[in-house]
Amino acid sequence: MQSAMNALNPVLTVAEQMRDACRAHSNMSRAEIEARSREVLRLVSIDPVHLHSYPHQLSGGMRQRAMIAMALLFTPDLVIMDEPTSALDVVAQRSLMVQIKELQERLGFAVIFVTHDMSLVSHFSDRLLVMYAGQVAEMSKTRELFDRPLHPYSHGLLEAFPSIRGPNARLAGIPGSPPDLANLPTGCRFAPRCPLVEPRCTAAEVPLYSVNGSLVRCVLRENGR
Amino acid sequence: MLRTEGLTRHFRVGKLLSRQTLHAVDDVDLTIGSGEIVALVGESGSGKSTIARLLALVYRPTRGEIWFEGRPLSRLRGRRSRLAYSAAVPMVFQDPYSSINPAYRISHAIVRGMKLHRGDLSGSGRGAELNRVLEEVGLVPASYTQRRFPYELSGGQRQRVGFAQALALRPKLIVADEPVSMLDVSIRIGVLNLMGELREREGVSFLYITHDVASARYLADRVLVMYAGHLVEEGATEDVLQRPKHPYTQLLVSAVPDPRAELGLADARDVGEPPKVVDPKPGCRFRPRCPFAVAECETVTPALRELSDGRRVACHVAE
Ligand SMILES: Nc1ncnc2c1ncn2[C@@H]1O[C@H](COP(=O)(O)OP(=O)(O)OP(=O)(O)O)[C@@H](O)[C@H]1O
Ligand code: SF4
Ligand SMILES: [Mg+2]
Repeated sequence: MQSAMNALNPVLTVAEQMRDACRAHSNMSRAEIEARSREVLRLVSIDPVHLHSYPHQLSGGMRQRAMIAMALLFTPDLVIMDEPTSALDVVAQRSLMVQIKELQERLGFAVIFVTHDMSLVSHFSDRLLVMYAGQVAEMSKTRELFDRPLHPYSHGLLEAFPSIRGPNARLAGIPGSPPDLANLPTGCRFAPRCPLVEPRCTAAEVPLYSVNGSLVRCVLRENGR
Repeated sequence: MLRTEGLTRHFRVGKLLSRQTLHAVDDVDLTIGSGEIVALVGESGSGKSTIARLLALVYRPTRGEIWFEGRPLSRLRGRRSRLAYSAAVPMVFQDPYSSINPAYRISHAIVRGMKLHRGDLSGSGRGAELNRVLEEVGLVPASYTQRRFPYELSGGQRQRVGFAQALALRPKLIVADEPVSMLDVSIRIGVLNLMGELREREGVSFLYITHDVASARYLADRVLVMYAGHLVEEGATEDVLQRPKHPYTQLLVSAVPDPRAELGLADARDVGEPPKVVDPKPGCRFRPRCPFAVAECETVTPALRELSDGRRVACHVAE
């Protein structure tokens, strides 16, 4: 079974939504549903008093954890998590990531973790797939991508967030903004923002090149280095 | 410029027959100076957005008072004075997708606020102001952007529209609740830089609410740390983040992921339980997770006390 994190329904309490999900996918009794609901809330560190809360009564982070709890009501093979931690502070993020990792190891499901936050997944994922404008820009083992980003966009991303310990220098980020998907540039989609752009980048669609087991969509890597 | 005194907000939760009281914000004293950028950081559910909503008059305080330019808000009477306050202290929200009406052009979103709050402007005055604020937030050419619909703009551009809406009201203090957390990382820095520039050029103060401690360091002069509804530490940003005094701040700073550091699960799992803010008993709310707790922490709620100039910490053992 595949389990995605759906948005919570604003007009139902957490308990009601969990009951609906359980009724749709199983024939658990009312008491079993109640017990399971409490259990999954505890798994994500939410006080079961919130079973009777409506989504607007939960904080942003609690809503995200409640969504994860919903996905865990049944034991899935694959859990797709779309920005599950984006509203959390770092302590809660870390402990949620550790919880997800533990649950994943214990229950054996695979996780596709969709996120903006490269630094967060750096410690938790096996492989990293960097998307740009609807295409794979790079796919590498996580550690390799951090040590040696192959695509200029991956490189820019690694430079785009402030640091907590190093010097507090002004950052420029990546200039420009992601392209309009209905009106894509010809050739490399990152070319308009790329500091290393060359004439050949915009000549034709760039394929994915294989570089030491990684995949990268950049003409500078065409000879596999 | 803005100051709160004992600011408190409780909510009733639970089933009808077993009503409990949730202490979202308890006894918060904070100040925001003119032209200052203050970051409010803290755990999920610690009460940051509730403070934002209290400042924006969305919620009424259960107890306590907010003073703005020397006047208490509880004595704001009438629609005019409330409107004037809302224009002086507007909010920018986390979600740039739901905070602008998708059915109207960008010009409408900005001019609507001016019609409501800035009776001083004529039609042409509003047109000029519209151009000015769009240019100020980097949405150039303004003549082009104002004709767009929200769906034609990227997330980062919409967030800039949010700041333009706020600027059009001639604000003194912009309350920005997680303004970049839903944006692509590649453009977050641009929006942070924008806030810094608006402070320089327009002299606006910001309350920057975030869970991203590194971005607080990047942007803010001072940082306030919330835990379970309490303000637990405050001070100059660099001072607090490089030398955190409160055990929660220490945990927070140590948990910031650093992709440059060795990969792997280095840190042990935080053994804590979620803070009890439902019918809390006296005592430090961080105690169940605190490695330094002493007997006093069980029974006495630590008050904020000044350790050194401008540095306040609510902990019995911190020194
Ligand atoms: N309208 C409401 N009714 C009941 N409880 C509420 C309401 N609004 C907030 N709360 C509760 O108040 C507490 C603080 O919520 P708040 O949204 O201020 O947290 P936050 O610090 O902004 O968290 P996050 O970082 O997750 O956004 C939470 O326990 C939440 O459940
Ligand atoms: S008051 Fe006590 S429990 Fe609270 S943070 Fe300080 S030492 Fe820890
Ligand atoms: Mg919030």
